[in-house]
Amino acid sequence: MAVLNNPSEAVAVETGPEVVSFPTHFADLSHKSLQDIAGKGFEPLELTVPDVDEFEQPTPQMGDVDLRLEGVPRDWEGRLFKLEPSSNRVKVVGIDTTCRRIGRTRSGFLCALRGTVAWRDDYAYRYQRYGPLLFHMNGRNSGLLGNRQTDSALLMGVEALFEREIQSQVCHHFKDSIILLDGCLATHGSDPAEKAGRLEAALSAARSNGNSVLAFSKHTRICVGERDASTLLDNWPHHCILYVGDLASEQFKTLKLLGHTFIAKLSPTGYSFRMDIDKELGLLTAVATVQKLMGSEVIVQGYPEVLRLAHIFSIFTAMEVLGIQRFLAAHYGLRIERPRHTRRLLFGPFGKWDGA
Amino acid sequence: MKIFKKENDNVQVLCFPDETVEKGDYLLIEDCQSDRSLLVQVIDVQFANIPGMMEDLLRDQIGDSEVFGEDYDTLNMNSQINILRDIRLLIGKIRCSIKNNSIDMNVSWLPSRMSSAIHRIKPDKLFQILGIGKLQPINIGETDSGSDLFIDAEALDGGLSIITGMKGSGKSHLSKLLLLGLIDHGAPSIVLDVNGEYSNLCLSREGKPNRYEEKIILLKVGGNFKVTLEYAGLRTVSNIMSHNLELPETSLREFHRIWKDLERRGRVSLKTFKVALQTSNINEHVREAILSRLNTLASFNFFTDDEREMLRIEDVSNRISKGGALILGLNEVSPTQRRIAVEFMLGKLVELLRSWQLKAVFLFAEEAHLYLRETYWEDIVTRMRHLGLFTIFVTNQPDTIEDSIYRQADSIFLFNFKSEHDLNALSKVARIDNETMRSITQSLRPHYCLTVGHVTKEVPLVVKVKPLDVLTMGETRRFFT
Repeated sequence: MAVLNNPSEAVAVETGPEVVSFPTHFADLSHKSLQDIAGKGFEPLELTVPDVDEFEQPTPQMGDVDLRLEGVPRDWEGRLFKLEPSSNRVKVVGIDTTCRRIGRTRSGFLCALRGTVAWRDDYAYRYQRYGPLLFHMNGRNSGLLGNRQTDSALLMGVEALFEREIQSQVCHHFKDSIILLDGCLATHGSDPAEKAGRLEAALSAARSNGNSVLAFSKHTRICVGERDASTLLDNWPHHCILYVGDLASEQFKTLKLLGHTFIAKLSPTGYSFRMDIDKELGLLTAVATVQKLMGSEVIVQGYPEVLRLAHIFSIFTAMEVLGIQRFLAAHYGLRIERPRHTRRLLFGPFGKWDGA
Repeated sequence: MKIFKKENDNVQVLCFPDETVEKGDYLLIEDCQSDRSLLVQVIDVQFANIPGMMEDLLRDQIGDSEVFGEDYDTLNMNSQINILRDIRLLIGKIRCSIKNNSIDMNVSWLPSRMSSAIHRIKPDKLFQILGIGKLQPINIGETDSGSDLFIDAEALDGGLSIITGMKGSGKSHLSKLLLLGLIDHGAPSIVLDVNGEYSNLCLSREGKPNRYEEKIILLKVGGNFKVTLEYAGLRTVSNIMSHNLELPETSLREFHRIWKDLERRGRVSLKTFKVALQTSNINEHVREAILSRLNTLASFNFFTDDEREMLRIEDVSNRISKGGALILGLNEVSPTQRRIAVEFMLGKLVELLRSWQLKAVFLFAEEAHLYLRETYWEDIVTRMRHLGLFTIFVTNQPDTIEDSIYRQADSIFLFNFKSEHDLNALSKVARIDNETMRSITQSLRPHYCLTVGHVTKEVPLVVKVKPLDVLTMGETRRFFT
């Protein structure tokens, strides 16, 4: 069901055909998982009083582990690429997804997924947003996601499946564009989302359509020992990227790397991020792609605007979480039960989560 | 709807978008366990502060103006989210408790938050519970939902009422409705008509005589309404000399002496007074002071020496004793004449009431600050009430009414006010809490009024004043329309 957000602008700013065929198998799975608990109780995630058990941290991406360098690079000049924005403009597409826990059931937990594809054409930014999709994750249906022990791991797994689906479709749909992913181009071999080589397939489809795929990670901490390595570029006054992929620690090398890894400083006063670029593009092409990105897209605080928009439109606000909880009660007859707060039961007013 | 919070007599209720509630409406919070209900008036409607609202609205704003897109929301979950966005918080005041369909002023109990049923109470039902408009009803208008509001004429009896609102808000219109309602129920009234807008109440909208033709008597100061000094009496004329014409105390004493001397000798008139003044052995300055005042009185043409021209209030008051109104036209006279005529009328009324020649009378005083001397304000709320003079003040300048009047008013009809200065003046009203008064009066539309006091059994009600089927003259004259 497509709901145009701005009907008055429908003619002037058509968003064009659906970029991603809505993943109906996800919708079916969602419906099926919820039907299993129809009429049963659930403890909604409390939004106003975050509990230590419930406090939601953003789910990290697969392979989005800290990037520990084995030392400050000696051949500094050879690894650092000073960048100039290219006048060769291309379409830039950003993809982001969000997975958020909505509540607990006796047998598992409920989560909501949403994904956004945002891009910029000659006139304006556009987006298409998919979801929310709701899932009840429990011992039975989580088998699809491999042997995951924790809720966080299950959340990560279901989000990865959904995200790869959208990424794959975008890579097939767009041509001669720069496609920006949230996270990195690295996978765990054991990851069910990657078992069928979905990221590799998506990258391959992108290449065959003339697209270049870059990934920006907000979560990866790049460090040398205990020192934050992203500060290495702080005093460097220009846009630049530092190639560090081959300096990663042993732990990092256990991942399957599908991209060249850089520390990227895309605006002189912005933050530095870990950036992966499709390895098959070759190093120089990768650098040229970043220059094209800078010439074609607004970079705010070192981060591409389309990716920021994709994130903003995907994220669930507290009010949306409440709305989803109401939806579950209204459409699946789920009874809202008062959450049991062990800390509060034990410690009363001293059991609050104040970051203690 | 769900109770969100209760603090003292304030209640906050969460209200979903499909439930229509407006400022001024009444909610009944029925506590099934105790078989009691709380009657709560909504004094403000706000958006509920739902967590995440700011982020949501900011994102919407981006989506509306800068970024264009589509949502593929297969479960149509946005419908639920939109409901949350529009959830309102009703700020209410507890007015009373209801048990077995009758009012109970004990509001010290707390209804269940979870099992209470909350619904908007229909005005008809509310009026029935309150038991208003049953005896001598006067229809003053209708509520937003179309229910007629009748107040009891009896509720105005023995009391002091205030009608106030900005210019053009409809206060004179309501005043006329009350006047005609009182006439219908056989009550006598006197109107101090400063703008000349009551004179045509005896004509229909088409300008033809209506059923009030015989019941409304227009008194034109200096026209059909003239009096002799003797009829006015020493007390009244002395008050006029002192308060309206500012005759000094020494001169006033001489004035009294000459008056009493003339009384003994036969007749007090303007002519005989002037002659007596000329022949009296008094200080020249005093003589001059009294003479100049007498000349002023004579020039107004209100006092006459010809008894055939004189109008006796007893005679006209008999004509309205079974329902009617004396309209004292003050619009074509000078401010001093106006004050003199009112001084006379009030003096005479007190005299008639004291001697039981009049049982009681309702006094409609429009813009009373223009003609009522300061000492009368206190008289009206204390002494005159006990004599049977029940005043209805009508004004568009609430700060001109004494604080004591607000504190002792039995019923009040408030039309729209925006100015903080006016609202501060109204905050002295004892019949309604400041918060309710401010919140509701500021958002009243033209011709809507907030009514509270004896007439509504102390429960504030918002009513749209009904149109009159008489020729009114109170509308502002316009150039373009």
